[in-house]
Formats: sequence, structure tokens, C-alpha cells
Amino acid sequence: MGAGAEGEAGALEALGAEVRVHHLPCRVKHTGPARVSTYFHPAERGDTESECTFRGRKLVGVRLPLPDGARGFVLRPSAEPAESPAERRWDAAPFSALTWWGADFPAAPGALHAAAAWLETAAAVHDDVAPEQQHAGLCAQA
Amino acid sequence: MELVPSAPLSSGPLQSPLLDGVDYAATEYMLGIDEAGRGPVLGPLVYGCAFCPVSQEPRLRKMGFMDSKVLTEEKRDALWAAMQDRGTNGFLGWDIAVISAEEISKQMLSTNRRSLNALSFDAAIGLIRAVLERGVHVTQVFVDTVGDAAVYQERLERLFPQCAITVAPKADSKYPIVSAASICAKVPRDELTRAWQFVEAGGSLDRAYGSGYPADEETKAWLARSCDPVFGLPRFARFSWSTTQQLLKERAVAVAWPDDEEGGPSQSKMGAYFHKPGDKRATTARHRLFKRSKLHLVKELR
Repeated sequence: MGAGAEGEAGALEALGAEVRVHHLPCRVKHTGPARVSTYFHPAERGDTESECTFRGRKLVGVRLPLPDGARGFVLRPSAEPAESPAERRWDAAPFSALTWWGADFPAAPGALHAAAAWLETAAAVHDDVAPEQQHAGLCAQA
Repeated sequence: MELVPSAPLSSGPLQSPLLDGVDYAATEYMLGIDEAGRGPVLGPLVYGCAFCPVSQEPRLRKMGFMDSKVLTEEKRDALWAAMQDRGTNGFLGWDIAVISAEEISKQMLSTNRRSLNALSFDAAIGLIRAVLERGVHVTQVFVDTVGDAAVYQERLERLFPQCAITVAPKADSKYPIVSAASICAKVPRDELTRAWQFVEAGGSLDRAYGSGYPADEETKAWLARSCDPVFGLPRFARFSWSTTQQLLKERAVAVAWPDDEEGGPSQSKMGAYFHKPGDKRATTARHRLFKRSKLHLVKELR
């Protein structure tokens, strides 16, 4: 998940259509391609919930938009060869929401909220701070 | 009746129409229930129910309703065709409930695991209830069973005190109304299974799956070649069957669920209750319910 600045938005449009990202409530011991569109057919249930099965188990999913200012990307190493690790290129597919699945019932997206909180914290830590603000901050603490 | 074999059917009743001019409330009716497709690892479990006026039972015998296992496939199809006829529906009505393989998997694998017997029982009482609610004056109920007949009978008697209940093994060979019910279970079940249209695998799955029974070599070979490493089998298969679980273990990647118990979903042994306290074997893990709900033991209360 990456935070994209406003100015990049135009360039990001060129990446193509949004992809649908699923967060499953189980650990699948596999990294690589999977035939998701062939086997995984969620049925909408109301405005935000959907239902599906995986390995025979009932899943209930909730659509979660990413926090404000955040954009998601699925990254894959590009086929172009790179001269050095620094020049390595990636193919990226954007997403702005993901479906958070729970087994039998909707799951509480605790991990996503924690990730969103980190984005805020990270922004606060790395933002430029004007000297006056710094001074004011120190005075407030004293 | 039109069957929709292309869709993975969810459980839902399909029934014969009640006819105008027949007073269903004034006559005493008998009702039979039978199932088809309990054992196979593929396809739905179908429950059939048939009802006729008690006085019309000899007519069923004359039509040829008897033990469905001794009836040929052609004869069964002919009887099923006759049951679609309005003339027949004047004295013989029916209703079916389809429990899809997907539904069976979901229920049996859910956190609150439900057994196939529990699903079957619910399907049976659902059918009896539906017929009663349509205003048919049912006074006798006959059910075929594979489980403990006495327990089953007692539970039905409690739910339907207005009916005389008979639960018996091989009831379809003893009572023509149960034989009729077995036709409405078996013929649609065979049809649904034979003509299954897969929505998965983009047409790469074939239909040479044999009888669907786990011991059938053709079924075994189909299961092996149809297994996707990530998703396992299409929704046509019952994931809760040990055949499927074993196949996934051998041919698909491992999947760990948060509510998996250590060492898999095995049940604790009866003997565990009979060890002395302090005996290592007697210690049992906390049930997954407590872990899931983040419930902890409180040692001190103030």
C-alpha cells in the first residue's frame, strides 16, 4: 500500500483499470498466480457486503475503501531486465478499496485500521516542520 | 417442472401445484419423505416428499410405485413424468428440497459445524411444514431413514403432534407414498448431477466424473485431474468429505484457518475425562471459541 501525492494522480491513471483485491481470513501457503476470476465469484449482499466460498467455507466480505490520501497497488517485477537493483522496474495495478473477508461472519478489519493509523503517524513524523512551530511545540511542553 | 441444472442450486423447494377444485383440507392425507445423494462426494443432496389422500394408496401401488432400487431408470423416469401431469396431481402432490454441495460444505465446515444428519433433519421438517402450511390435511407421515429411527421418530412426533409418524429403514420398499417420494428425490438428483454446468475453470472441467461416489474409480480420477492448487475443487464437490480433504492435502497448497484446532478438527477422546487430575493426557486445550472471542480466564476478582 502506498501513499500517493496529488500531483502524481495523472500519471497513475495511465496504469489502467482498478483491480479488485481480496483479503482472506486464512493463510494460503502459496505465492504466485491464482485463478481468482475463474473460481472466486462473490455475490453481492446489500450495499457493502458480499458472500463467497473458499475451499468450501463460507466467507462474508465487507468492502473497505482505503483511507483518505492512500492508494493501493499490486506490484509485480517487470519483465524488463534491470542493470542494478536501483533500476528495477515494477508493473503496478491500482486499487482504491479492498474486500475484507471473514469466515462465516464479517471480520473486524483491525489490521487495516492499524495500517491506516501508521500512515497518519508516518506523515506526522516526516512532515517538514517550520522553526516557529518547533519553538511553539517546545514551549508547550515546558 | 423446470430444473435449472446450470446454476449451483441453493436449497429451495420445488413443488407440484395445488389444484383448484380439490379440497385439501377436507380429506385425510398421507405424506412420505425420502432422500437421494447422501453418500456421493459430488452434487446435491435432494429431499423428496409426496402426499396423497389416505384412501388413494392402492392407486399408487397400481401405478407401480415400489422400492426405487428395484425400479429401472426408465420406469423411474416414466413415474416422474407422470407426477408432472395435472391429472396425477389431482391425487398425488409433491415437493422437493435441494441442498447443494456448496451448502453442505458451508454448513459442515462452519465454525458451528453442522452434521449432515442435522441438515437432513431440517430439510425433512421443512418439507412437512411447507405441505401443512399449504393447507393439506396431513394425518400420516412416513419417513425413510438411515440413522436411529426411534430418535428421529420421537423428534418428529414432538414437532408434528397432529400426525401419526412412522420412521423406518427401507421405508420406500414398504410404503408406496415413500416410494413416490424417493422418485421425486432420485430423478431430479440424477438429472442435476448428470447435467451439471461448471461455472469454474472456464470450460476446462469435463463431466466424466462417474457416479460421484468416493469409491468409484472414475470419480477418483476426475477429482485428481480437476483439482486446482489454490482453490481445490469446483463448488460441485463436497469439501467436507474426507475424500476431498485428503485430495486437497495431496494435490493443493496448504490453507490454515484461524479457528483450526491444533492437529486438525479431531474430537477429544472420551477417555480424556477419566484421567487423574495432573495427568498430562488429561489436559485439554482451550476451545477455539475462547480464542476467537478473546476471552481470558480471570484469576482474581476485586
